[in-house]
Amino acid sequence: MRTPSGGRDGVRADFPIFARTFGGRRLIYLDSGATSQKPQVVIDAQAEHLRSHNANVHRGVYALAQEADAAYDDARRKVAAFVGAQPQTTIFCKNVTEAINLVAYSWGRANIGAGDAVLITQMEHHANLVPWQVLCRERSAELRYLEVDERGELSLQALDRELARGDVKLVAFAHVSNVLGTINPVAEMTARIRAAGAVSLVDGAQAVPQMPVDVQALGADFYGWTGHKALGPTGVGVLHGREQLLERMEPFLTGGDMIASVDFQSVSWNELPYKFEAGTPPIAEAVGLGAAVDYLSALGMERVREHECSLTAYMLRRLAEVPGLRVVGPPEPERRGGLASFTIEGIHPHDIAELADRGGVCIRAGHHCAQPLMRCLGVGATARASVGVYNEASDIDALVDALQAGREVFGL
Amino acid sequence: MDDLYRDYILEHYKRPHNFGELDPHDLEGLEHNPLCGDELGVHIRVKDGRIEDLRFHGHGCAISQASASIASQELKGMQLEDIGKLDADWMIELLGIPVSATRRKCALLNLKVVRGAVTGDNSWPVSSTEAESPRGSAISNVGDEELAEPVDVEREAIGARDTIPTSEHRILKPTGNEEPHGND
Repeated sequence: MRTPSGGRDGVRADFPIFARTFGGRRLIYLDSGATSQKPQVVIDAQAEHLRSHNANVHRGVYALAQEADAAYDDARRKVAAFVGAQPQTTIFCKNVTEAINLVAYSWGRANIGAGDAVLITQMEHHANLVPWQVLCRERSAELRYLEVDERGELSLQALDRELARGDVKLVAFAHVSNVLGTINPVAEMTARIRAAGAVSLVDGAQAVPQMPVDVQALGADFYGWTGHKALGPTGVGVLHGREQLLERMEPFLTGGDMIASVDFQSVSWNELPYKFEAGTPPIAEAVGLGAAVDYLSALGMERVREHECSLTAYMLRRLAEVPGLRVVGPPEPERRGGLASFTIEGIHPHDIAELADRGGVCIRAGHHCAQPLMRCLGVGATARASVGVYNEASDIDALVDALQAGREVFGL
Repeated sequence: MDDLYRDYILEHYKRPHNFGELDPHDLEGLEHNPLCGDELGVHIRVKDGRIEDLRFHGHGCAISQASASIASQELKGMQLEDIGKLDADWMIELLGIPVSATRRKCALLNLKVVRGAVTGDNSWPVSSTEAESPRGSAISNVGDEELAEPVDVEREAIGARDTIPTSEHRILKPTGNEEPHGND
């Protein structure tokens, strides 16, 4: 079996975008935390579905419609199995933002009231922050934040203290922080949350693409992630939920497909997971995501994690050579996902990204949709380099070379 | 020489003109660049219908800080009623460097703040017409390795300078008496 690496014998050749050049230079893509590149098998699976199997799902009796049904159901089975979930509690949605909104609306509005609290963390990106802020404002509930310490980590003792106050109904937190890279101790946290009688929601957008995830073992009541960061297409995300909770919840969006029967004045809901999939779903996108998890499974998620961890270790070591560069988040690569957010004294992050681009290196700069966290870190923004299965050490070297050259441009 | 990070841009970034607080002031504004979380505020002192003095404050990238610094020199002495007529081209020409569609928002942030403070209308630039690059889509086809940049005579002329621009680069000529340049 091939190993995840960038070389000619590695997986990079599976990703057609790397055949492109920019200004005569090869593409050096270090922005997988924003979105991943797509392997040929995903592009082909989606195209083949549209070319040969396209029909709407759940409606047709003709052979083509049954093929579309089978393709969509098959994608759901694969995606569920990839993270140890059951198909009937695996809901396709647009992205992780919609997955979180689904819970905030359907579960939140039925279960959060005045005097209750929702607990999130200071490291959440806006997708796992704004829906709770809106919910709490609407329900006169309190939104509280678990602090991030100077290492960029959460404290289980602080979580215990918050839960002991007795008013926390839901705790929502990232599996892996998109800014700090921190891997949170999900199983320890969900056990405490469950013991306190609260519900947990884990945002796995940054975790599922780069490490083995077993939602049963993690013990979260809700676990959401998105397809496009996991080598899949945009437009398809996933929410896994505890069956008893999903059964009791009202639908989020209403319309076709999510109903059992409709009368002039009444309606009854379809069974799981269809109750939460109103309207025509992202069929071709789900098929593409099914191909993506097949691809990742063939590589082996343990090996993907090893690859990203060793590349992150290399990145942290090389970045430390750049004068004035400061990386945020835990210093140990094994405690973080495959990314490094950093600042360079004397160069604004936007300019860092621009200067990296001079060397053909794609990195991101900004607040990474986590403005409250930026305030905690005392920075307006950071630059962020994040790796995927197709990256290799030479990509990190190119980044460091570009940063060193950039310091010279700025006369540092 | 670097196209974007010319010496005078970096000089304005490192030692921006007219930055700080101005108290008392008559007008003020504050804007954020939602892309990067940068913020830029302005204090303006008004006399006889003109900007007598102004100071920017906040943090941002080299492009947004240099734009504010360069614009501050031009804005001093301007009639308030002329501020609303300043457009994106005015700022980009004043800046004198090729600015990509993304960095355009950085370059225009100071003008957005000043227009908001003076006119009370924070909606500028409204949409694609002014905020976006007039030079077409930034998406190139595979094989188009570089974007073709049409030759811009005005830009060439301005871009050729390599020193900090001075008042002769004013485009809208202030008619008032010359005020000292604050903390220049």
